[in-house]
Amino acid sequence: MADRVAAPRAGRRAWSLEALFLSPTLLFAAFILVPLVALAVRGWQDGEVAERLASPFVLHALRLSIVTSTLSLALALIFGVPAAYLLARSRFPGHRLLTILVELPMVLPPTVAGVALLVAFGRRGAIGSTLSSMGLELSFTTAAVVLAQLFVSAPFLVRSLQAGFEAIDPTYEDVSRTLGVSDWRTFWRVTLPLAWPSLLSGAVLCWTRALSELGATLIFAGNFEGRTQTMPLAIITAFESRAGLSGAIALSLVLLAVAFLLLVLARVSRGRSRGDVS
Amino acid sequence: MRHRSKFGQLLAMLAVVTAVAVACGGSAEPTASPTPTAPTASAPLTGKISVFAASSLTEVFKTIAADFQKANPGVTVEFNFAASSALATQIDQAAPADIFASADTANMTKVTDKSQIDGTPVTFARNLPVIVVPANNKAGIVGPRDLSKAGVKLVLAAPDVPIGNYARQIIDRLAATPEYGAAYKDATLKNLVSNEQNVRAVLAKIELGEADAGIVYKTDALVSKEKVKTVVIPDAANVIATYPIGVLKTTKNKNAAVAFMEFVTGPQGQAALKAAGFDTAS
Repeated sequence: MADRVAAPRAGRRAWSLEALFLSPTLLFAAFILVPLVALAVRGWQDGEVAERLASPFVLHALRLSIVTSTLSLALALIFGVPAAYLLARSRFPGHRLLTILVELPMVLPPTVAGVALLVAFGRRGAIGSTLSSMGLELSFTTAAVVLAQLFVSAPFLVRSLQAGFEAIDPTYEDVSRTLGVSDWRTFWRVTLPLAWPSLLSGAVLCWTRALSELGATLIFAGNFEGRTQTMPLAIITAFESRAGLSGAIALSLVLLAVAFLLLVLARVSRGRSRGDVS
Repeated sequence: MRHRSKFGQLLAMLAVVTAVAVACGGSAEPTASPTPTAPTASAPLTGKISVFAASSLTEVFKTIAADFQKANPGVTVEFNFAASSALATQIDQAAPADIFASADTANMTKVTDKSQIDGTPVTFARNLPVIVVPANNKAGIVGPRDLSKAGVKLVLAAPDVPIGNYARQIIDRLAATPEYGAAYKDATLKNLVSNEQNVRAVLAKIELGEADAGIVYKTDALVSKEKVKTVVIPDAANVIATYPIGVLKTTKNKNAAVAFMEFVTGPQGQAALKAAGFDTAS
């Protein structure tokens, strides 16, 4: 960053703007970095943290988190890819309403999502009561965790992918079709590969959001080790238990590492698909 | 120019949000504004105190604080209600609390062990765990034995939360009796579907009918008596919940904090606790 300031590409005016913007940027970066570094340092110093890392409590939560967030991502892809394509390429009555609907969970507090899911799919819920009479109960099950995650995370995939589809020049698809390639094959061979970067970043956002889901899960799915206690719930549980901060730090470090790894992987593979690694 | 107007729109939105926030704050203000009455004590108490209190105290402590503020118009009382175990961790991390009121001695001991309490904590109330079931009692629970029936969905608070700890003690005590036997504990804990964060989260799951039974305090059952039914736990197996209160050493408003604690343990506080269904300290 310092190199850029020292060797501006565009004249003096740009230089002064960059200089002006530098301190808020650095402060912002420090604001994000300091707590994360503090977490890592505390984890390093606190002997209990390493001990807790290998405990079944942490391993159960990690496994459940990975399984549920992956399932959520899979479901988000199955329903989200068609939805994103339709929203990007078709104009139909209710298009704008559907766009807003898809975005709504992104701005909604997850606790609201949890209460709403409970009211819909809970034992006495609009749909849940019917399911319950058929012997199918969702609350307190792993399925409820996946539903909660899907509700809050899928919009991130749809939003990103919709923008990706919209940015593709329809000419490519037209050419493919005039060459006699079916719509279905055109979608798989032309459209989706062109939208790959946005699919990837949308998928990563969706996955990490599912991984960090807390509020909706706590309300809708409850908190039970191995069944509904994902990493974020385990962090809360550890924080409020005798293990206290050490347990919470151990779990936080694991989740931080996973999230960081996912972001880096996405960056690298997106760079590759564009032909550069930056 | 277009960008500037967009920036203007953003500012306008922020202004509206701020105005709403200020309006909300304003409506809550009257409680804090002191009425010019003659002070009862030698010097009127002023300032703010932050009370960290167990979830089960939510309603009764608000009532007590309202009475306290009537007597001490200069003092503002703020609350942080959560599981006592969560509060103890927060206090350990130097949360700005003036008073800690716990629902068990174990979590108070966590705080006194690090000598964070000024003096010795005082017991100000007692409570009794009960079983609660949804009003329709679909699972047909009439006694503790039914908690072990196959298919019952039981919710408890997490083991370190006072009521979660008491509940497990009760299950152990029942399992130790010849009528129930050791198998009772296994069967009951097999029915456990969630370890909730605090007693009120357990109560909510029962109110909603999501679970078939939970263990809370009798005072919580009173708070939502239209939505839940109480099933009594036999005295021989039950444990008595003890509530200690103490002023933190780090308090910046010791006079007001001590006055609040004395108010809770005094006649007015004890009367309010009794009215809410608590057993008083003595």
